[in-house]
Amino acid sequence: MRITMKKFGAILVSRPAGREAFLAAQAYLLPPSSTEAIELDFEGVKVLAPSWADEFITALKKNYKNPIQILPTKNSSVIESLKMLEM
Amino acid sequence: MNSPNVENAIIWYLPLHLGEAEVPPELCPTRDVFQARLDTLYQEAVNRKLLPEDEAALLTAVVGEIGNNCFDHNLGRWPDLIGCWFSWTYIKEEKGLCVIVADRGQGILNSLMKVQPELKREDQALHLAFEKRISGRSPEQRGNGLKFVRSVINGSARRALLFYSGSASIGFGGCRGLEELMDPAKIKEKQGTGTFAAIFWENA
Repeated sequence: MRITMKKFGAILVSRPAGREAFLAAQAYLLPPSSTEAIELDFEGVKVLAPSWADEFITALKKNYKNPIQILPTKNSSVIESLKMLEM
Repeated sequence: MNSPNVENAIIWYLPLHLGEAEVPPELCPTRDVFQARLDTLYQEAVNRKLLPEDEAALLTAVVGEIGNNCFDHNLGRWPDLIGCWFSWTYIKEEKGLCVIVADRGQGILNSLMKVQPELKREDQALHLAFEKRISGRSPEQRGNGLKFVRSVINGSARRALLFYSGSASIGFGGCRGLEELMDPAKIKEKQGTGTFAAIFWENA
């Protein structure tokens, strides 16, 4: 399944916002039981900071066993932030 | 750096007595206000062509990390004024920006002493904060924000950061010659702690 990250906002920077986004995704987007890969599509996101990404992606890894794939992006803030999470 | 924006921020950061300062318009009393102004910074940098989109994105992410830290590490324990100073000025004939983010919170040492009780000096705490994955918000697993800031700033000679915590400072990137942003005599007299970040970002 694919998650369109821009639907959480164009500027994704704070921990509280990242946590809230994960909780919303958990409630409405993420499958309760599936082994399907989760694709994160950052197309359209203007700014990503590592604190937001940490709250969202680390929680995703902890709570779901599905493989996580990041779709290719040229956004430098996305690339640098995901490096900090070793993605 | 002769800019009223920077000079006013320094005056605000260097109170002789805590609690004396008036609340300036540059103060973001809540994270929501900071976030709204951060969006404005990004839009202004792109729309006025101060920076290319990619550079504006990185600058916004760096400023976002530093500004959100002000709230993350001081919630419920601000020594006097709540919130962070956030302002910016155009530099290099509108081919770059100088952004100031400051708070009058507990500072890096007080935050990290909780997880590293052997820390005694603000300068040691500053080095640790930027170099190791460590956070005062134990037991949460945090602490990569300032490493990200350092890594991005060091990625180009056209970026620079001068960061104070209390009266100690650390610099990264092309900030040679900016070390004395604060008058050494005044910074020595500083009471209380807080953090002060001056971020310089030039267009290529």
